[in-house]
Amino acid sequence: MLAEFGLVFSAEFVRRIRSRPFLIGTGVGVLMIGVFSVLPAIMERGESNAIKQIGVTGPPALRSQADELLRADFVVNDVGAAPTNVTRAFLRDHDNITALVEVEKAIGGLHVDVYADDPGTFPAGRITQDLAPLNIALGTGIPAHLVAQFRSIRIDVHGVGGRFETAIGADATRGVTMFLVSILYLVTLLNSQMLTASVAEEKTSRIAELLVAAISPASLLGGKVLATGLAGILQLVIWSVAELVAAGKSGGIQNVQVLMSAITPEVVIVFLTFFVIGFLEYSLLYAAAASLISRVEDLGSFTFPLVLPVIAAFFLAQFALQAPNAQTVLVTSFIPLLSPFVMFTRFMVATVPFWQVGLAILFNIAALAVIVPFAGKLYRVGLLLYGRTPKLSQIWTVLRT
Amino acid sequence: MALEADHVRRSFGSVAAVKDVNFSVNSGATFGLLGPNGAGKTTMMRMILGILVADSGEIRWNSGRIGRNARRLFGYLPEERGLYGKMKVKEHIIYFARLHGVGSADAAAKADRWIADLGLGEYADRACGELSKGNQQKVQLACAGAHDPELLILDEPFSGLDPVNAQTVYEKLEDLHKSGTTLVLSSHQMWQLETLCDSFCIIAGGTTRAAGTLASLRSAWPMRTIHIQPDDQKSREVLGSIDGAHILSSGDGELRASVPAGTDFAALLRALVTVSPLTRFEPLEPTLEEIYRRAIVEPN
Repeated sequence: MLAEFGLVFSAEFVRRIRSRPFLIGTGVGVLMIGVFSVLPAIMERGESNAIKQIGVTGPPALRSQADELLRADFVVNDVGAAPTNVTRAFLRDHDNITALVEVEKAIGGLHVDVYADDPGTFPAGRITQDLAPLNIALGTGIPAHLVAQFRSIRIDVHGVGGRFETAIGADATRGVTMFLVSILYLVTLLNSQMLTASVAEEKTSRIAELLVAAISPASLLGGKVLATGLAGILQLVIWSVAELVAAGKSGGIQNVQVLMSAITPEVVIVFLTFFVIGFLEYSLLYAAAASLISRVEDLGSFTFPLVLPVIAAFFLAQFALQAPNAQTVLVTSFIPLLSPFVMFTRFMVATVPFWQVGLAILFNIAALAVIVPFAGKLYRVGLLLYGRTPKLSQIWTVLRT
Repeated sequence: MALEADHVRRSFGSVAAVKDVNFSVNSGATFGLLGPNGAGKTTMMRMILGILVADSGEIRWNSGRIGRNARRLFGYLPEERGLYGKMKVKEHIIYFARLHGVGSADAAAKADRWIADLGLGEYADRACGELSKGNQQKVQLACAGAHDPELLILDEPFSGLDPVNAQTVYEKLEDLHKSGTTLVLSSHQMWQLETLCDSFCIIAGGTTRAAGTLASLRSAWPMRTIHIQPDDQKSREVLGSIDGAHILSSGDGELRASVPAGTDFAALLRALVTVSPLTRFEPLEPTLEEIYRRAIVEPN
């Protein structure tokens, strides 16, 4: 039995990691992680090149003070005196600036006119923030550079809930949670669908009949599920390494250290437990559903109902990130199929009593105790059901025999 | 007996696929399981292999119930063919041999032997999906037999094969028979089974209609066909004097008649010679196809 299981496992694993969907999925995943990690920097650079180029005009004394303050957020070009009518051609002729900021003293403070190439996207709010000290200076008589010194306030956020000591730690944990839940979602969905495709291939090409003549359906199903699961973990490791490398590249070693500080041994154990449980639940149900189809074309419609709980669980986990103690989150964190996502998220971002995590795992194990024989029997019977896709009543009849 | 089926029954819901099937197969024999489409042959084969479980009755191998260990000694070629399209031919054969408990090195050697025997040498490293239907079928046969099974069950092994490939498969089955493998096969090509099989079981409507060696099936056949030349009135009169005899057809100066199996053919020959210038007198044994046709329309 063990030898059969091992053979199916190794053959299936090799076939899986050589398959085009696995290679493409893994490659695209790494690419996406890379793209998402450099995208903010690229966008920022693009923004600095495009939006941040401005010109400032106005009375020389006022303009020099405004120049200095605006350099906090903008690249300021010297445009000399402003024309009566500012046109697009004027902006283009002055190093392609995106806006001309005209400052002048008004009653009680500062007045600013902005002539922007695209007023809709120009960050006028930043101008307001940057020039606020000058406005106060003109209104109060205190020099602008002194006002500017009091612009920033030092804020220290201290955690008192016992879960996080610092805001950075909380943010890192949320980031790690989001990443792991996304991985769980992708691995569950992609690999369960790969598993269904594999079962459907064996069913429709009738290899399944040869296989179950040689080995037990339990070995066949177990080997396939485990191989798919391991391929999923391999994918997870590759993506995690890519994420860490990307984090290191974009934010330096400190970024990696912050992220790693959120991945404690308890987190690894709880994540792997929920990963294995969740993956087993879904993959077994997917495999059983796939064994009932007679044509590969029917695969989508037959397995679609199983996609819904995965999507629901993923969105509930997103909600749990923001409100880990909400009633809906609390309840769904104990429901099998949902709890691998929701309880794990709660465990990460809230102070969850140990017994709640244990109870959720227990409920899932109880669900697996039902799913394993049910899926096993459905798989064994389904593999030999050919012809039209069976009705629920037919499946029930066969399951009872 | 190597394989015995004893009042086997199997239903799917309200449909009884196999109602009452009995047969026995000697060790090393080649056994033909015959029947029309939907007769229950495939269900019967699946029950022998343990893919399905009988509702009642028993199937025995070497007088014992068929368990997991026995099943690993069986090989199976299903009617519907299936291979992993992207797996290479040799890898495929090795995989199936290993699933039946053959060691890695031994499986490779056996795969090489089957590839050579079935003329698949040039395709050994090609993906199965790239092969023609006939060659895929030969690969499947290799998968079914590479572990040297004691019992090889073949559901329609000749269907879809061209005459050359059919001959290759036929010769391979003969080799297996000579080497002592017990073969159970179904086919609609009666002439191939007639020469290949030692004994038969004809099933229809889920029940055994006839079973035994070709000789025993023939001996139970109530009538014989006789060819007589020339076709003249005197000969017809002689035939008319035999109870139960009737003319089947006539043409080209030849008469074909059906006479009871118990007819004294020597006496009939003498009677015909005295009345007609006889040039042909040939009583024929019933063919397997005739026996089959009669068995499936006439319940026991």
